[in-house]
Amino acid sequence: MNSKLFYLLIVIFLIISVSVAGETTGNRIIDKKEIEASGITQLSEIFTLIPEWSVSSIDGVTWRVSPNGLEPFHHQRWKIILDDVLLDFDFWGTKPLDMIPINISQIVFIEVINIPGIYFGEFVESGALHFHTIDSNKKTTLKIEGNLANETGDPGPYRYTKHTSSNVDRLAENIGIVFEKKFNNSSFSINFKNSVHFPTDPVVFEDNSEAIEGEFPKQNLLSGGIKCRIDKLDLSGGMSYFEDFHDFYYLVTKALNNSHHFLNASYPMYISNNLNITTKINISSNSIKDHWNKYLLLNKKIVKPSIRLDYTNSKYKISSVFEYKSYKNKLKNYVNNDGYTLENINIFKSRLLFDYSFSKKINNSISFEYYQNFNKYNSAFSDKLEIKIDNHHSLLLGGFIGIQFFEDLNYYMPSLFRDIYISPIKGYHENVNYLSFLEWVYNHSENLQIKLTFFHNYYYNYCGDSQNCRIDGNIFSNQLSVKYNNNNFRAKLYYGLSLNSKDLETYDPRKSIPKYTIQLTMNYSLYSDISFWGKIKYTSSTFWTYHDSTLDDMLIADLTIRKKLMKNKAVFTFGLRNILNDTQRYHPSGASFDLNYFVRFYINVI
Amino acid sequence: MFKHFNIIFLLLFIFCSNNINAEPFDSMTVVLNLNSNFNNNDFHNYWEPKTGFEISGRTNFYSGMIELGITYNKNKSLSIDQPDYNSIYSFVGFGFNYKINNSFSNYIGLRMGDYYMDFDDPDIHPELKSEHEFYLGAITSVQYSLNKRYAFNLSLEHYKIFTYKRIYLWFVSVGVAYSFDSPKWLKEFLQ
Repeated sequence: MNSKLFYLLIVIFLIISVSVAGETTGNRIIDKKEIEASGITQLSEIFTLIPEWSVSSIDGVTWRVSPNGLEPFHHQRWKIILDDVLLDFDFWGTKPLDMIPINISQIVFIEVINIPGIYFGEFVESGALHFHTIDSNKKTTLKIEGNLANETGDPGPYRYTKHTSSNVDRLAENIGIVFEKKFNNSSFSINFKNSVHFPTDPVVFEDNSEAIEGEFPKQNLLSGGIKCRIDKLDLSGGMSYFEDFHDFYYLVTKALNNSHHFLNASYPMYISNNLNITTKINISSNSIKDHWNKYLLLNKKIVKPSIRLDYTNSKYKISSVFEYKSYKNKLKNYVNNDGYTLENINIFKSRLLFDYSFSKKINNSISFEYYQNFNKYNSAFSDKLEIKIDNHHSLLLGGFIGIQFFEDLNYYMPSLFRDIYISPIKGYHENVNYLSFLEWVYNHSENLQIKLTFFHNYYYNYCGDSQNCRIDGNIFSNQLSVKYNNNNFRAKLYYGLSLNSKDLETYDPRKSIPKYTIQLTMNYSLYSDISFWGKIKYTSSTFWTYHDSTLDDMLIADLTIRKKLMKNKAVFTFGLRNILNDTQRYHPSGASFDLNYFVRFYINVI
Repeated sequence: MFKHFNIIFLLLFIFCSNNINAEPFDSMTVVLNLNSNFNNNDFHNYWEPKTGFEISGRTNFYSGMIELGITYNKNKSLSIDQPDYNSIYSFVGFGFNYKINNSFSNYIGLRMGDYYMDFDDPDIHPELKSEHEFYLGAITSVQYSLNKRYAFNLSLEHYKIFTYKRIYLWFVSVGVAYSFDSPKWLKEFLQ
């Protein structure tokens, strides 16, 4: 009934649309105003503002997501871009956003990319979050921010009675500081943050062997970033250290300490009006100081010099990227799957990647883009057609084919990790994904925008051996979002409907997608110094194949109140999350969260 | 009777919301109260909240008043199986002041904040020696003006503490209120 209603709505909308008149993008923008109004206390909470992405989290801090309508457990091909720099920030599929060395108050806007294509010289095949932090024109800025948060449902004094229960905590405190200085042709910024979380929810708690021994998990994140621009030369770097990172502990039965460092330099050269060459070098490393590293292969150093050429004229644009990527994994006393012992070995790999894209403007309203990349283990092709129908309407349609092979990883990884992190279906090491998409954008006025997005995913997995282990299936994701903005009031309504083909096997992980998702967010400024933000989200029940369990539907409501102080120099925010106390479940074997509350402050000292 | 308290309170809250005050943060009232718990439920099988004190500040804020304050109570254990503990309620509130006549006024408001517990238990893990929990509260008070600045204050307060097994507490409190024009620095800070 509901799906029929949805399609009826789409048909009516399309009929109306054809006769009226826009802007087409494959992006969503989460601006500073929305981030501040919602009272986001840490970067990872940004997913709560992106209903278009399916998400799962074991603890509310580390997340696994899918931007194209697939289930969130699938391989994490989405990317993190920070001010045009791609961060190689991946711990076997887990991308702890909080480790990005920026503070919330630095964010100007976040670009949420859903559609495959080239963005800032980086090919995005399955979504990206692009954090933009270049800030105001002020010459000198010093900002301090922080928050305290807690989850309700602790035993309190009843701990000492027959009514005792587990201690539950999810969030604790963050503190951050940012200093920015601008000169005539250059700028400099430095920031630091420290976050502490106590993930003591019973399920998380019991999963942690340290906790069983009486220790209380305490995630401590230290992170700092530096950025400077000297004329056209951009330099940036950062470090993050995460103590008790526990996303692996259901595998390794303990929390691990991991760290990430990166250094980036890029320099654009304008050869002529048409030709632009950008040289870039990026050095990054992920490391875990634990013996489990030899199984997880996380001590990875990456050196990545690249040259990008952009040739543009009035009719077409050709971009090509030559990238040399070298990995170095250091292993000591490693015993592989077949029992071979490898001692003190450096695994060194290098690849020359070549990507190119061609985009042609057919006329003022139609443009076409084709992209192809070549890589031994991961190749992709995509094309996009963007049609600007009139001043109000635009249409984007296209397709994407991605092929991934897992041969190399199969060799090194123990089967347990390979099954979970490399291929979601045991034994599969060839994976072909066909994605077609269509997005219709209708800008009724400057204040009202309606977007309809369709994703059709066709998946094909093949294990390549004699077993009959081929699986294929279709997933349709239909998304409708309506956005209204004016000076005092903002609202965004999202409706998502996901349909799976019946030929998916019962235990296919791709069935782990809620059929219906509805989210409404509203922001209202009552006076110039006080505003309210509210969100209500409904997710229908979901069958989680990995755990053979069905998650009940849930209704989550959040409310935030903001008060500006000191003539707008400071902002104080108080927020309640999950007011209805409908236990918030992201993962059946993971935590379930009760009503949370937080206070957050932000002071613009200079 | 207590079951319908929230509804009655909400109706009173809406009724009083018509009251329009002066410019935000123009004046301030500091209230100092002694409080006493008078209800009896499961909680009181284990602890007896002793007489405590409360200090709060209120200022006019657009159509109502905002308040900020803390309340302290010691909770005396009734058995050796449970330790004594100190509790501190720190809260922010919003409510309305309704002038009954020249001498009497009524304040009705909602509070929310953090309920801090510090257990007198030397054997407990250090991470669990103290705990925080969210709480919601409602207050109604009657003030009798003694002169332009001082008033006698009588309040009835209800708190719901969001522990796994919820704690419901009722307090009656008496004290004095002192009103004054907000100092310029404070006004500038709050604006």
